[in-house]
Amino acid sequence: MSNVDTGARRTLNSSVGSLTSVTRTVTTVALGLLVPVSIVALWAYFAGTGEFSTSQLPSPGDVLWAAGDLASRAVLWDHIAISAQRVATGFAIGAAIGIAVGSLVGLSKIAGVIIQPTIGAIRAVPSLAWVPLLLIWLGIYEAPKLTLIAIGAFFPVFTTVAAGFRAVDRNLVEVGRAYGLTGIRLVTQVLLPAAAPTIFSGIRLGLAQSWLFLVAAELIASSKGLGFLLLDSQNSARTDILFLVIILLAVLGKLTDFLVGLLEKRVLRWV
Amino acid sequence: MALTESSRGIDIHVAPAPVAVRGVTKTFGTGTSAVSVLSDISLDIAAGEIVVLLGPSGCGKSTLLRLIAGLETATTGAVLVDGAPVSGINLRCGVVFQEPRLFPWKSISDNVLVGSRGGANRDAAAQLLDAVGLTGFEKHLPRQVSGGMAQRAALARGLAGSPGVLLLDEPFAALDALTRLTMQDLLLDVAAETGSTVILVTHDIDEALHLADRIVVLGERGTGIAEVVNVDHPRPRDRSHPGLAPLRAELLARFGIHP
Ligand SMILES: Nc1ncnc2c1ncn2[C@@H]1O[C@H](COP(=O)(O)OP(=O)(O)O)[C@@H](O)[C@H]1O
Ligand SMILES: [Mg+2]
Repeated sequence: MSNVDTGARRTLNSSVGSLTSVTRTVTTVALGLLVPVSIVALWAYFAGTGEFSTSQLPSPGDVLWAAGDLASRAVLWDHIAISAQRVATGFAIGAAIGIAVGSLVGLSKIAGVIIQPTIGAIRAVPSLAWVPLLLIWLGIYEAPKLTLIAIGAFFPVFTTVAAGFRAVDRNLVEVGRAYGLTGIRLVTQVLLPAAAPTIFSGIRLGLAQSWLFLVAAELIASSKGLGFLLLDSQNSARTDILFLVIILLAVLGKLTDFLVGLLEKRVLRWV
Repeated sequence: MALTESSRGIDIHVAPAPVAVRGVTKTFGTGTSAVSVLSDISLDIAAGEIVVLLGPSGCGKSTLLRLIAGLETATTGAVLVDGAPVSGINLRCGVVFQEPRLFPWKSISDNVLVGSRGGANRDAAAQLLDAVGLTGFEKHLPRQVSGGMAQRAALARGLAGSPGVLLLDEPFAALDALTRLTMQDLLLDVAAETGSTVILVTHDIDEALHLADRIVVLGERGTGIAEVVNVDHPRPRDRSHPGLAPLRAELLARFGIHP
């Protein structure tokens, strides 16, 4: 061919590239830990000054000890497991419905016109306002909690999925049409992959909301879970456990987001 | 050019189709907001002919091309490809747009296969990529290749369905000048090789003179065909051949430019 444009603009990862990418990851992680480590240091300092009582500000050591104590009595793991299970179930339900309804509204103009205003109105209701109704309708066991978490996951997923499908580049859709794709094949082969990056960001938002709503759900009526532990430690003035739960929620939220991020990287390799 | 050697012997021949445009008008919108874009266009294009649509921006060149592809429906009149009226997407056409419009999630090779509508296999894609000088880039993603290479992949995709008619809407307009010239010659090679009918839109007079058997000049929006110019010049054409100068001057004058 000509020598007008030669070679690829970006070559695929060479071994040299992956080596520098390792050092880059290490640097990123180190920089990301800078603030948390500083916070713990400050925390340890203030807890050590003797200005605060243990019930006001427990030291990091106290919190670690509380963790060890709870873990040794095997209750910590129970609380974490039940909360994680609730988030997983509620999120799965909410996200699945969010993807389904969001796709419908994003893909079909008429469905959007019919459904969108209603969902917008439901969305305007502060989600915790549903709690009394959920308790009356669904009792006090798992069903109302899972429903509340599902509601929390649904809205961000629904909104981003609908917007993601609507924002698909019309030019790409036209290419699909020009080469004979219609109906479901146009959706799966063009619209879905094109909207996938937005769909993933909606899923991550929904997951974060699920943890938020988990705490709300468990604060209301439960005898297990991190939200319950939060309330219980407040009642018994165990500030060390309170701190522990807050830290656990931060770590779990970050961890699950990281896992979805890994999945996203695998699925969206082309981005 | 090495290209002709590489594509020689490759079996991507097609049955070229004639195209007839019969009294086509196209109006966008209705009532007071109605805009007449094409009025009473009639045009007969022979099988294997290379026709260039030339005209000022906004005159309806893309619209006419999209009508032939079946991406748009005529308000009145009809388009016949190989004698059959076009209604809905016309599967005898391969379309190349101004932008490559490759699917960013598919490899170059898989993007080419989109054009075959599931009909061709990886070998066919490899042959086409060879014909456009992209061998070795089959597994690359669109973002990993240059604009010129992406547009060549789009050309290969356009050919993958063995189209009787290849429709190109300002396919080289976004490329740099040198790549554009290379791509024009590439297109001529591929057209000669496959025998496909070619309808190409451009607003570049030199491109039209280099490529066309016939140049169809459209007037301002809604005014229809202004002029049809035959370019009876032997190929391969020398871009600076003095024999093309009078035609160039005539076309420039038509657009209000007097050399
Ligand atoms: N889908 C559409 N709806 C309304 N107007 C359109 C549409 N497509 C094209 N037009 C109008 O038709 C005219 C011609 O467009 P086009 O065929 O793209 O011109 P060209 O390709 O010659 O620059 C323009 O004025 C444009 O605004
Ligand atoms: Mg145009």
